[in-house]
Amino acid sequence: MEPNVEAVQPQFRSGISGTKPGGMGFVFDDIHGLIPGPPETDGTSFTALLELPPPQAVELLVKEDFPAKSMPPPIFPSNIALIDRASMFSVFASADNPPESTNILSVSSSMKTDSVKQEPLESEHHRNSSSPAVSNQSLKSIKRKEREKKVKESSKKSKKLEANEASDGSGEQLPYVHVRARRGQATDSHSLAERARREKINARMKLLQDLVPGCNKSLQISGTAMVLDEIINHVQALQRQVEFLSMRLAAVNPRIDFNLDALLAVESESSIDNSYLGMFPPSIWPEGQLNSSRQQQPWLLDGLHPGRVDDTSNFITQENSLLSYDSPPNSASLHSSQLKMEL
Amino acid sequence: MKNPNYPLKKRLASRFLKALEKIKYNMSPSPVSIEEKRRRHRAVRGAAYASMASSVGPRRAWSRALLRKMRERKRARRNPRNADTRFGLNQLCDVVPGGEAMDSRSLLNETAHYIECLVAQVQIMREILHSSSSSSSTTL
Repeated sequence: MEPNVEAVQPQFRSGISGTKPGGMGFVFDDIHGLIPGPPETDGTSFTALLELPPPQAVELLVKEDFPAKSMPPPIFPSNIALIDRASMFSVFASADNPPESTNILSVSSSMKTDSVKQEPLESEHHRNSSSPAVSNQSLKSIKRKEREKKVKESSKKSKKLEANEASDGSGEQLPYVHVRARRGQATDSHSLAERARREKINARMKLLQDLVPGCNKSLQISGTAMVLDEIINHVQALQRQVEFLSMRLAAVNPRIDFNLDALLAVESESSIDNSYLGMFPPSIWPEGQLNSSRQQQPWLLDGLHPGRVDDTSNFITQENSLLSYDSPPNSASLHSSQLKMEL
Repeated sequence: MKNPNYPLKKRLASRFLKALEKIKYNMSPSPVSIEEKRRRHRAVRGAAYASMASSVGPRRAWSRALLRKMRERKRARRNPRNADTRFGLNQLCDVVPGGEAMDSRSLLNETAHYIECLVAQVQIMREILHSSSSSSSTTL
């Protein structure tokens, strides 16, 4: 996590210096520097954002969509992400700028329909239990929730608006997503970026919480240790189950012809030998590799047609590659894809 | 479940069944020694994880790590060192295979997908057990 935080830093600074030659006083450094108004016009903050060159727009979003490194930075969705983020974070509480807020909402709602990847945002939108299709209402509810949060004590980890009306008024016009520090928190960019990352990680943890049964009743997201423990317990329990079941399966008499038809009928709709053969994607595994030593297959042929010995032997040899996984074309293709992915 | 081309559970089931057949074919019908039983147990467990990893393919980091481990294990087995590289899994970093080399966010992603696959695999194994135990006689 640390090198990512370090990498975020220079990008931010370069983004600041690159786009705002007028010394905008980016909030990450000094909140009160926002008070002098930005050179941009009012209400066009997001259009200005949209006109930003892509790398800088990506830089703006590095704080939020950090897998811009792991995946190709999508410009369009990142704009949407930024807009949504800004709509959630920027100053709506100040009643001074209702036209801007509606402008923001309309822009974001219009662009949201084109979005491709909304995973971190959707997790936050789903917090308000609203579908992305109802983007306007979801954003408005988020707005309301933001205001409620502002009223509440800042016990949450998310960056929300605090006092400081002056900076509120001027902050909305900024094209950047500005992040407010909580009360009594350090405002240097390091901790802010760290909090951003932590927030993303908390979003993921929430998703994981939903996966793990019996973990949903945690009070808040920031019971991180407990959630992590639950997740680990669940994974370990699943692995123990796999062990236990594999032990039992190993002890089962191999004479069983496994009744594959019935098995696959249980899981799927097809139930006949033909479909049994057709269900397995043969394109993945290479044909051939006939193992001539497989002479005795009485138990396998019990449930199958004797006329299809060749097919079954083919499938058996395909298992050869299943376990060893060293079949040349497969390994080559997978290796190349591995290399591509690990690069 | 995740792959639109072919449902995960079907893929898992098919590969695992094939692996099981191979194991059963290679092993003697009724193992007597404890070591044989243990070997079989390890083989089945390895087949479970192998089918999981191979049906997911190189799409996920944990499956890639599992495949890597399998390949290393296979090579280690050729030199009969009998190195028992079981999928040693302790904490989340180690629980999810290949977790050491991931940053926390992708680690959580991987964990989520790994949990889903594990659940599917466990269901399949249970179904296999139940169907086989109900249809034929099992000698334990």
